[in-house]
Amino acid sequence: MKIIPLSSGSSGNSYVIKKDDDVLLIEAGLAANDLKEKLWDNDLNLKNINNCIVSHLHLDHSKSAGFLTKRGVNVLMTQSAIEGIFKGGMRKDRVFYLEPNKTYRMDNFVVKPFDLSHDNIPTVGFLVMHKPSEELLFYASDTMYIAYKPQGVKYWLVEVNYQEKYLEEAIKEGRMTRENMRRIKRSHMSLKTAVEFFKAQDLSKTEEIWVLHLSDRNSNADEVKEKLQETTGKEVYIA
Amino acid sequence: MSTNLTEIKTQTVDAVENRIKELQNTGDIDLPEDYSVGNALKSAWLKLQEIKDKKKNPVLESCSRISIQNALFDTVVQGLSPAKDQVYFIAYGSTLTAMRSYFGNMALAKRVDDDIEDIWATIIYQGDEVEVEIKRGKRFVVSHKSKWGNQNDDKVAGVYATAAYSEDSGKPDKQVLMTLSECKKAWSQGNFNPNSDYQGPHDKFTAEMAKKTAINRLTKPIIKSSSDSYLFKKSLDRSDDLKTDNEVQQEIKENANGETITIDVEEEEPKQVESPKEEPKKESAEEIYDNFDKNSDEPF
Repeated sequence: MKIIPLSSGSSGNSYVIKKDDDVLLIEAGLAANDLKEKLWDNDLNLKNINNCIVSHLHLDHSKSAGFLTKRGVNVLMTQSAIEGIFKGGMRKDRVFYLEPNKTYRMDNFVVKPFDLSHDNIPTVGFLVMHKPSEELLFYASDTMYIAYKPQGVKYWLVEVNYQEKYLEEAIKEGRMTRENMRRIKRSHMSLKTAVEFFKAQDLSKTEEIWVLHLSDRNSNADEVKEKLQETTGKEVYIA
Repeated sequence: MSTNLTEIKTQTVDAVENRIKELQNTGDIDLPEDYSVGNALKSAWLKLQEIKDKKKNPVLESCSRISIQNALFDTVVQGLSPAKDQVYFIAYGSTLTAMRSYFGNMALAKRVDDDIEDIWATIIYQGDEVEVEIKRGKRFVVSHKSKWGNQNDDKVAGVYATAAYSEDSGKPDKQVLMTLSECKKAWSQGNFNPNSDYQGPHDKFTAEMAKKTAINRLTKPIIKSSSDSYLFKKSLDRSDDLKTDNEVQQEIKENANGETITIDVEEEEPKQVESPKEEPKKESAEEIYDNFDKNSDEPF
């Protein structure tokens, strides 16, 4: 599988998963024009994409979901995301409800959504299998922590949003309100939590670990990469 | 102690004690030197075993573990002693809260403001000679003469509470003066109903209750407006942060990284959306969508 991050972070999230000719788009958080441009940069275009999965309704994950349906892409997402996005307009026959803990087939991909903890916004992560190759990918972003322990995962795409020391610094320098800090802590994953997560996982089949949704202000990419490589002994990429 | 109680104690008292120790080690919290976290938690634990909620169920069973933790946290972070009745615990539904008593308010006011030497309240009885001046916009009793015969609990006319500052500090004393009807208005916000026939503590011990009310009214602004320079005040400010940290850590500890998950052999046919639902299921969905722009510079 090839993982192509088109964009990651609070300005927009979109990741392409490619195996042979099969392409799955995880998240539709880029504006339509930006999405097209980023696909172009990676020698892809909208015609390559048949399926998209969206984790929750926040715009940095769902901005172009409506646009994609109008271009004939099947979009699978939670009920609350659909209700939020209907305002922007979408083609109804291309939108599909997902329920956590059920397994859905999307062409050559099989997707199992599971619950995450993103303040009180219904949010899911995905366990994705490319059926012909049986390769497993685990995706979880925008969550305080991950409750799960999947086996045999080859690719991990996991959020690390902040490091506590940088939040403290931001508070001290008055760049952030305490209220904001509390909200971030309730809805995003810290490096510390991510380290504990990977310590608990079976990494025997793991090839790549991708760090998503890193905040420039509240974390240091080099430190995060180094710490996770040290913990897992695997190659870590920052999306 | 039954196993159940032991378990509750581990999850509440011991968890909070450990967390406080961690925070003390990292320097995130400064407690007064003469304050013993262990003693405070022990006496809180003894009290909690006795306390019942409205439906007469023990609060240790009916209240959530998180709320018990938070109540204990609030107590310790403010440096309050349950044994000295500086704090009392009340259950609102399944949420346990720690409320500062007037003893707690007095102790805390003295702690946040070193220059306060003493705090007390004086009752004014009908027939007393009282001279009131308006000093810097505040009512202030400049002279008060009472006769022994006036001291009658049924004839309370008013009350004033005084915080006396040391002469060295050069600060003027602070005072709160309340008439009895002002006290009664304050009480009517609570369970005391001035029009009912029920003889509650406010009727039976009017003078003592009036003193408490005046002292609370005097000390609250001292506590809430104290300067940030005081170390302990900082930890008061931080108590909300600590609560969040505590909740986050606890939830992660209890739930993270354990559940197995696999791709099922049987696949579901994805359900197509035919039409939007009339009413959003969760009220938050549309609001968040509407409000997104306002908060858009922060990570979601």
